[in-house]
Order: sequence, then structure tokens, then C-alpha cells
Amino acid sequence: MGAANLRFPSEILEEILALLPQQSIHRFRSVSKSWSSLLVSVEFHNLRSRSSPPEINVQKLLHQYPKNCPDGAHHGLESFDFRNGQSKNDEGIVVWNPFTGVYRRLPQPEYTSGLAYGFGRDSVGDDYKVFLAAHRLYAPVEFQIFSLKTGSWKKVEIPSRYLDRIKEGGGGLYLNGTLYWESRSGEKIIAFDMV
Amino acid sequence: MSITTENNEKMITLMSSDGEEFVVEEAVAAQSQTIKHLIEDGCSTEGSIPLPNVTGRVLSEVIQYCKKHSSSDDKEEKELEAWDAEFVKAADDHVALTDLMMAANFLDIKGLLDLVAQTLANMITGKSPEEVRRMWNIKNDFTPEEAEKVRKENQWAFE
Repeated sequence: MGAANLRFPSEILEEILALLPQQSIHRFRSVSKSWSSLLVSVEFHNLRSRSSPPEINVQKLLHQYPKNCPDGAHHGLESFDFRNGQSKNDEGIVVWNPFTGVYRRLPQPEYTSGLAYGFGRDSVGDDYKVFLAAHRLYAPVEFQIFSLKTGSWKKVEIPSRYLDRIKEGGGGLYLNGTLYWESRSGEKIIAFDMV
Repeated sequence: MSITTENNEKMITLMSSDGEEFVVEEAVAAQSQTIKHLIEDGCSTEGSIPLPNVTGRVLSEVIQYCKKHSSSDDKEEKELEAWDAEFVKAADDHVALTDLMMAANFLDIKGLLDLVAQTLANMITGKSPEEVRRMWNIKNDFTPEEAEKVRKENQWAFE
């Protein structure tokens, strides 16, 4: 069995590769430069999401990424479809793009207990931000906001009389520039305008 | 020139890149959108339709597929699936499949394109980058540093 010369035009190659499972797609970024750029392109991921249902196992990603995360920050968070979460074993917060597999470990925030989190896009600042809400006893509600653009945490205090307690451990839902959380009582929705 | 069979089926002639001629029913050939449009544009009246990108060997396989798929209706879906599986198996290896894929793309036969694409995808799933390079004769153009970086970024996929 001889080797075929790969005479595929890239759109045919794309059709084939779009059918591969996620693991193969990541692995084949090592094949060549042209495969690598094809496999991270937005067009490719659009094609892929059309041709196959997403098979992202968020729990699995949560545990795999921190484990394999090399030191140092990573760039190229190019798509807006991120998830964020905290790993179980105190390895900090990781933001990643499940489609391209690009991830980034954030520096430790000041407070790490009693948190609700959220992730969203700041369309005015053209930035992506991670939100952690901390409730401390007798203290105002404090949001710790990480900007992927500046790479640092910032604190915003909101007097608690304005805000019901956010349900702890809740992941915020991002919609059209606003993050929403469920309140602790379950009766209210707490909204945070990103801009 | 068009020939008509007993049951009034219009026949057309397809000519491969290496000069081989295939006389097939129009309904069979029209499984290919490319040929269908050529017929509609009146390109078949002057004798045969030349297909300069497809060799006789590949064309005969493509016609086999089109014949099967134009004669089967939806009720026979299961049987057709089994037939498809045998068909790609008979295509033998990835070199033949690559040719078939190119032909299906040029002739615009969606069913065949999907079938071959899935077969090729299955063939490389689980393979290492080195094996894929060997299969498809792809040059590794990463510098050792770049290769190391890409591999590190996607390390989990190698475990």
C-alpha cells in the first residue's frame, strides 16, 4: 500500500477532518503547519459544529486541563465561546476555549471561598472577563473581576443592601453583555451588566 | 447523440480522462449534480460528456455507486447501508479512497462524498501524527521547537 499524495484541496480535507473526534483533532495539530492552522480556524470549527453535535465533556475538560496545563500564560483566546471553572484540587481557575482547546490559567484571586463565578464578554472594552463573587461576613459583596486583556484582577465592591446574596457555587449565565445569577433564596435573578 | 432503451430510458455516454466510454442511463448519471447541470445545459447532445478529472477505473466505481443509489428507494435503507459499507471496503485502501473522494467532489455526488469522507476519517481516527503523515505523504514542516510547543498545547490528546 503506497502513500497517497495528498492532493486534496483544503475544502475537501476540511470535510474529512471535521468528522474526527475532538481528541484526534487536537492530536493532528502536530501533523503539519497547514493542518495546524486549518484545525484551529474558525471556519473549520463552524463546519464541524454543523456536521456533528458537540461532544464536549465539560467535567472531563475541567479535570484534564489543569493537570496538563504547562507553566505560563497562553495567548490566542480567539473565539468567544469559553467556559470557565475551578478545578477540584486547588490548581486555580482555568479559562479555555473548548473548540480550539486553547486554555489559560489565571493567577490566584485574593478570596477563594464562598464564590459564584461567571464569564462574559465586555463588548465595549473588547475584552473577556471572569467574575468571582465573594460574600464575606459583615462586608459588602465583592466582585473580583479578571480581565483577559490586562491579565489582572480588579475588585469592585457593591453595598450589600443593593444585592441579594448570590447562590454559592453558581455559575453565572452570560447573555447579551449581562451576567445573570440565581439568588440564594431562589426567588430572584441577579444581573450584572458587563459594560 | 442520445440512445433510447426499450423502456424509454434515455442513455448518455460518459468519457473518462483516459478515453474510456461508459454508456449509462441518464437517471444514473444525474446522481452527479455536475453531470446533471451539463445535461441541462445541453452539453450531452454532441456525443459523450467528457470528464477530464476522472480516470476510467475511478469512473466505473462511481457509476457502480450511482446505479445502486438510483435503483434503490428509501425502504431499502438498511440494505443500502450494508451495500455502501461493502463498496468502500472494495475500494481497498486510502489511495483508492482518495481518488474516489476527488471524483465525488468534482462530480458533486453528495452521498458518495459523505460516505468516503467518513471512511477516510475513520481510517485516521486514533492514528498518530506520524502515521497520518506517512499515509498521506505529508511533510512535517515544524521546527523541533514548534513541534514541541504544539504537542505540549495538545498534550492531553496524546494520552
